[in-house]
Amino acid sequence: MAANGSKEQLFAQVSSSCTGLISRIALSYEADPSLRHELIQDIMLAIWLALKNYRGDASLKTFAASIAQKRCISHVSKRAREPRQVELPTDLASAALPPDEVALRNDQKRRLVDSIQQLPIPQREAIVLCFEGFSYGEMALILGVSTNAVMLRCQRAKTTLKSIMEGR
Amino acid sequence: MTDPELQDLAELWQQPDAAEAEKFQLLARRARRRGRFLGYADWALALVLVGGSLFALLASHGPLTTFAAVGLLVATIWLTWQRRRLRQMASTLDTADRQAFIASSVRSARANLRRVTLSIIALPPLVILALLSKMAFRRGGYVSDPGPILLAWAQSTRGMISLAIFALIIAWSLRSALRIKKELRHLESLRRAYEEENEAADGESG
Repeated sequence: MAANGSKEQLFAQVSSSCTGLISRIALSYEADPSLRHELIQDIMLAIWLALKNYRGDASLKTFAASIAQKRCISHVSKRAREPRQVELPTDLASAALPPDEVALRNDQKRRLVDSIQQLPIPQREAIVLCFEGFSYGEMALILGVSTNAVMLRCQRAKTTLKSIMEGR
Repeated sequence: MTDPELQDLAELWQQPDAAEAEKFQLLARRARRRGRFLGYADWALALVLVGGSLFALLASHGPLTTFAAVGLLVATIWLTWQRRRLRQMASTLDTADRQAFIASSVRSARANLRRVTLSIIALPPLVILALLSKMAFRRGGYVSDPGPILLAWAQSTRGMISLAIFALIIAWSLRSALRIKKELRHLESLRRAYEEENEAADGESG
């Protein structure tokens, strides 16, 4: 049975604390908003199913990220067509900023998301987890590789991301 | 890319999106409801099968019975499909690393391909066999020349509707088979990508 609290409590905890994390992991794999929402629902269902095996060995955030990445890989593998290039919404940045600042941030974020979506999946997983603030140890746990391999993969991902962003 | 640059990108990446967060809560609630319901899928399937059998035993033949039978059939197929999907999802979630995860996904996809291929191969002879059995039953257990009887059935309204449904099932199965083959190709290229990544990491560390 799950380690800390009931399945319902743990699910509520994931729903409230991992909102951004799961949405952004889904965004790195799926540009189409309606397909992304289906993917998020699929991830949440998978988390619900997997929570019965959660022993508390890793943090709930690490656990959720691990499941989200796996579901996203399955989603990408099952995708019948190549991903459509969908324009991201114009209100990605905070509305609290001045309008010109908002426009600039929107453009930067759009470029960043587009570039991340072009990375090979092994590197994409690593850079997204890196951006989400996971330590190399946590990333090693999520990706099932050694800490050293994670560091090298992140380094390669940064280099590839830079070349994609500069080439745009 | 320097670390400060990376920090800037991480901040940009983590920008909160209020609309997305609201939508997320809705999707999470929907997923929890679905998860709860599917938790009872085994019981629901057993209930549908037992209830359906009892109904078939007790009810008299008529339009209502036919309607109920179709409903039960659809419910059984849907529940079986959902249970299979959940089993496959659960089996891939238990994997520790990406190689094992991809291997598990490949096994699931191959099992699906076998199932679809089998239905494509088995459906036409099974339909013909079922038709011949039905006709033989009506004619006292013997059909001397099945060709003209099958042709007459195919030209009847009921026959044409049935053939159209079977053709749709075959077309849908062929489409599924093509999609699964594409999925297997994607998984194979993913496996190669992970291998290359590992080799590159080994090369750099060694």
